[in-house]
Amino acid sequence: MEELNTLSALQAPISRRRLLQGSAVAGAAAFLAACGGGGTATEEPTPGGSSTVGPTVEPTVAEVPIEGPLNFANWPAYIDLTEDETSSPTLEAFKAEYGIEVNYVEDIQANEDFVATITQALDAGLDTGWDLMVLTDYMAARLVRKGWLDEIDPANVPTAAANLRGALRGLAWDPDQKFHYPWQSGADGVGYNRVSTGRDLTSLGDLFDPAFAGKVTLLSGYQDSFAMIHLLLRQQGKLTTTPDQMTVADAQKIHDFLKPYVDSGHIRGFTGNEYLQDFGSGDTWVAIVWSGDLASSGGPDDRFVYASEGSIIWTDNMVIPKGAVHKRAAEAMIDWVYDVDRAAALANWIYYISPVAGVEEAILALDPEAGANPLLFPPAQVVEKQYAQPALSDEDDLAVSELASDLEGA
Amino acid sequence: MRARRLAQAVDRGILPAFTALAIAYLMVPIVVMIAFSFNDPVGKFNFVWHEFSLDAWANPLARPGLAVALGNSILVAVIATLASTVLGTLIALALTRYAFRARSATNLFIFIPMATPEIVLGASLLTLFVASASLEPFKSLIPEGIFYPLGLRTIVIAHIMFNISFVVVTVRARIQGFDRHLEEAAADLGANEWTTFWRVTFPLIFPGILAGGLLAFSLSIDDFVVTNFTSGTTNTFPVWIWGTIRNNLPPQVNVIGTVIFIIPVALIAISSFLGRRRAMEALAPRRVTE
Amino acid sequence: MIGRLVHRYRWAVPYVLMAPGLLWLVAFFVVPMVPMILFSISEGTVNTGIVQPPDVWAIGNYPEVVVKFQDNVRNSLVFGALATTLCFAIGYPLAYAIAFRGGRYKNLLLFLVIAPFFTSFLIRTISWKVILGNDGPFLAVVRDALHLVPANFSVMGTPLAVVSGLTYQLLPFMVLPLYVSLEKVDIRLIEAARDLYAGPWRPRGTAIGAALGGALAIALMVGLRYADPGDPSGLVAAAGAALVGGLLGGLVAHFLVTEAFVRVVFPLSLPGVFAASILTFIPAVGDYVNADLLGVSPNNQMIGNVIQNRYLFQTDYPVASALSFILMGAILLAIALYAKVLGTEELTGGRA
Repeated sequence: MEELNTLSALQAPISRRRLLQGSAVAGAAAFLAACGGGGTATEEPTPGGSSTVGPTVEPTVAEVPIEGPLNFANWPAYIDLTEDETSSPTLEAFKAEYGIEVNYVEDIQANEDFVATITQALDAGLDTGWDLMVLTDYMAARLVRKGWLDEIDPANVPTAAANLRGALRGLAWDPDQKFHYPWQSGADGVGYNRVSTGRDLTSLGDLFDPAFAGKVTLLSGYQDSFAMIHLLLRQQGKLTTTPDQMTVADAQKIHDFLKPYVDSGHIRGFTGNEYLQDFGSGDTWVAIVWSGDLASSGGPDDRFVYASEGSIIWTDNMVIPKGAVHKRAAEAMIDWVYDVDRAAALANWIYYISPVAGVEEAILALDPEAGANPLLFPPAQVVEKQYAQPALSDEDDLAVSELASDLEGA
Repeated sequence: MRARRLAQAVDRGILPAFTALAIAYLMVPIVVMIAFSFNDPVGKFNFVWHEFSLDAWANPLARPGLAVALGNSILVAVIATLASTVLGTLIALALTRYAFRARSATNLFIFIPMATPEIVLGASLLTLFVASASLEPFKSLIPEGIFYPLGLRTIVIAHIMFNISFVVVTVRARIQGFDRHLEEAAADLGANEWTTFWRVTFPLIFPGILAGGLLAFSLSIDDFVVTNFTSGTTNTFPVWIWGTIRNNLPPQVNVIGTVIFIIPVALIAISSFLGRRRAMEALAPRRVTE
Repeated sequence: MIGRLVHRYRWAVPYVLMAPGLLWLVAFFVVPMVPMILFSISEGTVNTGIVQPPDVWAIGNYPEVVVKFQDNVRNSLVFGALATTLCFAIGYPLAYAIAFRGGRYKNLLLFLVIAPFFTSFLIRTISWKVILGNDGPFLAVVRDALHLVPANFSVMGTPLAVVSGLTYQLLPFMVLPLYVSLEKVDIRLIEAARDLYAGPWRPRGTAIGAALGGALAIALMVGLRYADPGDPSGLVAAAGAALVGGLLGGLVAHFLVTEAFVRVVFPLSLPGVFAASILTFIPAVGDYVNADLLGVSPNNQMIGNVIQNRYLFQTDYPVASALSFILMGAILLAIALYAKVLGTEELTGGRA
């Protein structure tokens, strides 16, 4: 019997696969039935979010119908949830509005890991299976350079086009939002355990206090840690550029500065999000961390501080991979999350900075105490010392990655 | 003689004690996991004991995407385990019971997939799947839709591939030095090859097959790297857990872990209590080793 | 009818039996390896553009990566060998006990050995992080209450953490094959052996046990970097550990090991010992997760970490695949040598 299952799984690919995809297909089928097999929902949500319910507008000839399922790859803990954490209000409302399923998978643990799984298909000109994915600036920019992203039709994202913050417009790698709309932004800062350190920390220089020897971690790769140390060396007058202008020569100086601390064991290692576990077990006291993490997932004594030398700000962006089958649905999702009220609810749940202009008032309306949260509302003196991550050419990226690898021992 | 008796007493006390310790060592994280499934954690990380709660047990699958991911993983693990156990056992039988020219080469070849880093297994398989849809001659040889788009089918293909070697090595260890006289005796008594195999050979090598299958299942249900490359948009339990654990560790994770652990343990415990009579045979070695 | 056919084409039977499995491996392992072999002699990265044969034949990649990553190669071999040895030291008595003393609890015990591995690796690893961590219960007892180790001693971020993680992780890979080969040992043989070689295996066994225990202790001290061979104080520490290890090994061999076991049971379990050590050693050498999550420090990274890092972050497929093939070659060489030492090719080849 089981052998039969194996065989049918291999020999009857389509029916088997459909069957196994369960809810996604069932949902789509229910929708098709409801529409008499038409599947012609084409209505735009009205800017401002006061949308009507149900597909009511007749399709015009040129318009592509919004069809699902929308295959949406995102980072973990990057979506709002209901109080009992069983579903996401943003996604549920989207499904109800357009009558399509959303296959929302928290598949992106790191930009590089995820992109490695789709590179070959993109290179071969195949559909990756994904319709929408969220990548950090430098990786989104790399995909634009490679020509691996589909253009977003401005006519399909009027809300997003209207509501995107001015500060996030006109980026060098995609000045006219042809390929991307930001999902959320965050910053790098100093995280520490107040009890273990015995004092409050304020600066990047505190990372190198001899009292913390062997209890310090940095983030792996150069995008965060090298950029932060860049700020420290700039403060000390050893570098004159800002992190977003980092050159290979700058990176070499940063490497040479860090190397003795790595060799002596002062810096115990380089990690991704695992620093959360290391804070939990007491093995890490001080680290360069991503904003939001310790606040939402750390212990009661864990603190996050924007370093006095400045901080690095980054943005994760929604992009559509080349050949996406449900591109129209992806555009609808981009537009959906740029509604001010929805954006407010989302940001207030996940503690990152929304790219939507005017979201501040909406968040305060939801949660008056949020105004005091520097993660959601970075103070002015923090914002003026925020810099973007380094933007390196592919050749320079290789050279600087090599420097980072040398420190990381791999 | 007294010294011998002392040695036996030590032996009889120490071996069970050691076994208990070793099993306890294996169980430590499981005990922690089960205990913390009853915790009501303060933050999002279920690390520090706060207070007793049954909340997580009341709605164990109440995390978005979890039920589907878990179902996918179990389905993949079951199919891949069964298929790789059959394929691997056949190879092990051929390698141990027949003399043929390619035998030593095959013996060595079997080790190679095990020695290959997971990331290379995953990435190279992805290359093949993509080539099947985009590159000649694969494109015309392979019907569309078999290897691409990626999904449960391609995960199963990958898992069978990396499981086969582990099954072969485990089963082969069982068959080696196998007493062929038993089979010859059966043949002398007039049994044909099929009967001999199913009545004599198979029962004797079954523990090896079972052990190989268990290994395959545990490899399959927890595989992250190879699955990541071959899953496309399909969600699996390890992907769900690696993602979830980045930012939080809800007690539901512990509940599911506990259930996956408890159900088979309970089944086996019950069957060993019920099967006492047959187990008397298994007690025989005990008498002899003393 | 079928029987006669089988008899007639007897030579073909093994090929027919192997065909499905081998075809599967050829299609989904060998064929996909071809591009990897080409990558290993190419230049460049995916991001900057890869130059492949026939435009370039970068055979030099192979010696280059060995020299460049020699520390990682050393870590892989040392940590892998130590973890395999520890697994054997824990796993053999365990498998022996289950096989010969398990009684009706045999299946339950066997299942308990494998059960932790049905739950997520990550849950287990995080549990260990909490237990062995700086604020965890293990150090609270060993360091803070008993003062067995210095005040600044930690487990996480050391080679000890990596080897402990690997040992825990791979124990079932050791126990299962040992169990299946011990379990089939014919009881009548053991009875006969007991008649022939009644009594414990001393004094020779005591000496061998002491020597093995001492050697393992030294290997652990040096391999886990608690004793630097070039440093006199390290030598003292190693000597002390060797004394303790030798004493323990001697005691175990003196009281627990019988001559019947050494002469009959152990040789009969050798195919299992071989299979089990291979099944443990291979994943240990190629592992990267333990070094990453438990080893943390740059000094503890293994070959697997380099491959992972090069492949994903640098998209440096040439270096990643060259290193992979070196790793695979080294493992195959180790298997061949081990088979030679343990006996004949009978162990890898079975017998006809």
